[in-house]
Amino acid sequence: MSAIGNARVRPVRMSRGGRTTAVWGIRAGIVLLVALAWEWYGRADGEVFIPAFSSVLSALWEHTLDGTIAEAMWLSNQSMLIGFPLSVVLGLGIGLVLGRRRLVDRTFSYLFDLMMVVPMIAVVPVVIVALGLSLTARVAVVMLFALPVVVLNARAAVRVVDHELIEMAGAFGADRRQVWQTVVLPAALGPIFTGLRIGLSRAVSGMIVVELTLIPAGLGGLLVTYRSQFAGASLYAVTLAVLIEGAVLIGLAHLAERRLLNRMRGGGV
Amino acid sequence: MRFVRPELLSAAGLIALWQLIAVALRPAWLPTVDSVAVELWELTTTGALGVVGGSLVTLLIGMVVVFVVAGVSALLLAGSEVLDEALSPLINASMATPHIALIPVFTFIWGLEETTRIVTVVAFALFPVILTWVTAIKEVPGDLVEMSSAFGASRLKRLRYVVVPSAATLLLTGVRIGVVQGIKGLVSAEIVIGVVGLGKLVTVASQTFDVVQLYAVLVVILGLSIVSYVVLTRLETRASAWNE
Repeated sequence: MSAIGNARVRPVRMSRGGRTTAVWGIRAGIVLLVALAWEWYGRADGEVFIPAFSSVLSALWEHTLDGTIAEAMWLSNQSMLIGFPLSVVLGLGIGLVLGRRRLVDRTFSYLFDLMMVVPMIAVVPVVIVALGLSLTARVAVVMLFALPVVVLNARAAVRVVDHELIEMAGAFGADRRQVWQTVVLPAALGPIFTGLRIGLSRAVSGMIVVELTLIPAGLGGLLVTYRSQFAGASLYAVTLAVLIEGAVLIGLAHLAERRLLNRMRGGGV
Repeated sequence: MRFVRPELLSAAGLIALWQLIAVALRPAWLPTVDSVAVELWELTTTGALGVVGGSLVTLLIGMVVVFVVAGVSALLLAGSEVLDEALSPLINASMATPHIALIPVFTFIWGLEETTRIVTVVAFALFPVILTWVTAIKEVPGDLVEMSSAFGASRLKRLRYVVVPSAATLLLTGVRIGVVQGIKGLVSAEIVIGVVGLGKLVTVASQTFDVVQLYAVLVVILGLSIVSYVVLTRLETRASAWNE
């Protein structure tokens, strides 16, 4: 937090407009540079291992039009559609309890810390042995990936809520509902949504992992197939599709967070 | 209560519960604790776990790359506000991508070579380390930096005597996050590749439905990440104690 504070305190050397231009210039420059370098390197390489950026884009377009990607996405995302909401509900519940009850927290929280630290991919074969090559197994893996960060952030959210602010709001005559709406929820929403965003990205990882290692179906299945067929452009295109899905989901979570905050502030005191 | 750590008690309880379920219900997916321990011993004595050494060397190479690149990038980003403002969102966004999805591309380019695993380690670890280190450098008190330059310290000396000591805790946080992520990258690459290092043991065990071996390898992997996490966290706590 204080890092941001420090940055703001420093004297601004550039005009505001010049600065914004510079910032966006650098961003566009980097993206352009990467795309160009990729294109050039791919062509120089003979497009064997690194297909040119343009070839990847056209492969992506092609597979989008012929429905390959859509079909694979639907197949893969079934585990996400069930697993992620379950992780959110369960994770928020567990997180709230851990944040409130000291003894429960000290007894069980380390488990979620561990789940964040260990490479969850190593647990996937055990899940498959237990649940078979089924949708249930895929859902379980998605939850193993997504749940811990949701739990830990919900727990942190309960703790950050400023008790002095709550008291003050009470002193100024806010009722229970207003206190929740204007103090508790807005303060807790930040960490919770951070947890949801990281959880989303981890859930996508979990969804892909099963398909890459043990159940060659859906998007991961496409990746495995294209790799063995040596279809470079298609392999890169599907990878890009997975990354885009992740980015879109996280973007949507951002949007939902902002909407919710605005609504809460608007409907408050 | 002071001498009994609840998490240790609960861990012991969980292991006891594991053994109880394994003995009483004999589910196909849960071998007994003692059979896993015996298997672990056998893997060690037959030298099957020798692959861990090779994997650790790969991890080390990857981590050196990560820390060198992250160090230079963090100094650049912390030194220039415009650069920081322009690039931090990009770094944040790439941190949120599911990195595991990149492994097929890496194996496509580099095959079974060590490069694949090193690149995966870097892909997993680099960005979180950069972001943590940028924060670390920015947290250095400005007056200290000013004083050191007033006394004529060179850039390098300032880095050595002012920036590193006062940012030590957060720098070590970066190291910890990096190593944890690096291990995840290494294990993920090896399991997806399936024929090298620990990944080979996992693949063989799960293809032959050798659940006991699967658990033994899992214990090795979990042990590796937990030990490095605990050691590095200790180091961090010490550094913050020195700072105060």
